[in-house]
Order: sequence, then structure tokens, then C-alpha cells
Amino acid sequence: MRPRLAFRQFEFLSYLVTAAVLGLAGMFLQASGATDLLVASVIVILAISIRTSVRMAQLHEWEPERVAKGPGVRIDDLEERCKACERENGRLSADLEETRSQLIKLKALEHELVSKVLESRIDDLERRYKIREQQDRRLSADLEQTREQLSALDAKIKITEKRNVSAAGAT
Amino acid sequence: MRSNKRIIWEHFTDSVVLIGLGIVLDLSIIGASSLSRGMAELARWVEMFSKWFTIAAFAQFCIDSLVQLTIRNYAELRRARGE
Repeated sequence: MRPRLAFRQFEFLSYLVTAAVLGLAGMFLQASGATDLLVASVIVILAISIRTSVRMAQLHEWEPERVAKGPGVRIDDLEERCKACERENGRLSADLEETRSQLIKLKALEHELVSKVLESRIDDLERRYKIREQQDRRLSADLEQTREQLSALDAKIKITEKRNVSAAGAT
Repeated sequence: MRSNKRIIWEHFTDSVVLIGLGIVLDLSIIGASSLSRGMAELARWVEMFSKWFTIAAFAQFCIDSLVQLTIRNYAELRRARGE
């Protein structure tokens, strides 16, 4: 695979260049009279810093194919992620619209429910009002009947009293 | 994604090639010091260079394997955590 080979070549070249630079540094340090231990320490420190810097720069690029193909792949990847984000955004917007329409429907249903409850209350009140009206009419009729009975009784009492008075006069 | 063994093996092969290159360079100047004074001086420089080149190649193999595996495993750990 060509990209894989390119990546391996890049790694090998990186090794080679770093080793050459460190070799030159060691050579000049040794020539200037530094001890082997000092030169080895400097080389190890330089190697640590160089390799760490290189690897940290590749921290987000672990897939060798991606590195091998170059920044174009990263742009493609970013474009793909952008498209995925746009799709997600569209889906979320559709969800939001749907939720809004459902909320409007629910509000309408709530209004309908409230109006139905009120209507049933009004019906109930009307029914109770009619019952009361009937009771009132019945009570009025009873009252009228009682008054008539009372007047009849009064008349009977008067007649009886007259009879009693006439009977007492006769005796 | 490459496995840890694969990474170490690739670094090992690279370092073996470089160490071999350093040894070949060192061996190539054997006997050159007896030719002339200038060649003797050149041989001394090449000897010093190949020595530190070989040591640097080996140090890179150890350090790079360690650094790459550490960073990669850390990145995998972070990815697994969803960070």
C-alpha cells in the first residue's frame, strides 16, 4: 500500500535525520572535550525532547493512513464532520419544529378540554337550577293549598263560633 | 490502527537499520588513519560521529517506543472516557 509505505518512509527519514543531528551534536561536543557521560546525557535529553515534540504533534493523527495522505484527508474529514453536523442540525431543527407543533396542538387540546369542563359545569348548574325551580313551584303550590285549607278552616271556625253563640242564646 | 507490538517492531527495524548504518560507517574508516594525516583526522571525526549516531539511533528506538505508546494509550484512554 503506497500511503502506508510513504508514512513508514517518513518515520524512517525522521529517525535518520534526528540520529544524524544528534550524531553531529555528539561529535562536536566530544571534540570540544566533553566527557562521554555528558555527551550521552545531552543526546538522550535531546532525543527525548525531539521525539516527544514529534509525537505530540501527531497526537490526533494516530491513523497512519491519515498522516500519509496529508492535510487533504484532514480537510475531507473536517468537511465530512461538518456535513454530519449539518445533518444533525437539520434533524434537531425538524425535531424542534415537530415539538413546537405538538405543543401548539396540546395547548389547543387544553383549551378544548377546559371549555368542555366549563360547558359540563354550566349544564350541571342549569340542571340544578331547573330542579330548584320545580321544587320552588311545588312548594308554592303547597303553600297555596295550605292557605286555602287555612281559610277554609277559618271559615269553619267562624261558622262554629256563630253556631255556638246562637246555641248559647237559645239556652 | 497499529498494535503496540507492531509499533515496537517498526521502531526496532528502523533502529537496527540505523545502527547498522552507523557500524558500517565506523568500519568503513578502519585503516584510513594510516593513509595520511588528513585522512586520520577525518577518520577521527567519522568515528566520533558514527559512535554518537549509533547511540542516538538506539536511544531514539527506546524513547520513541515509550513516548508513542504512552501518548497513544493515553489518547485511547481519553477516547474511551469520551473526553
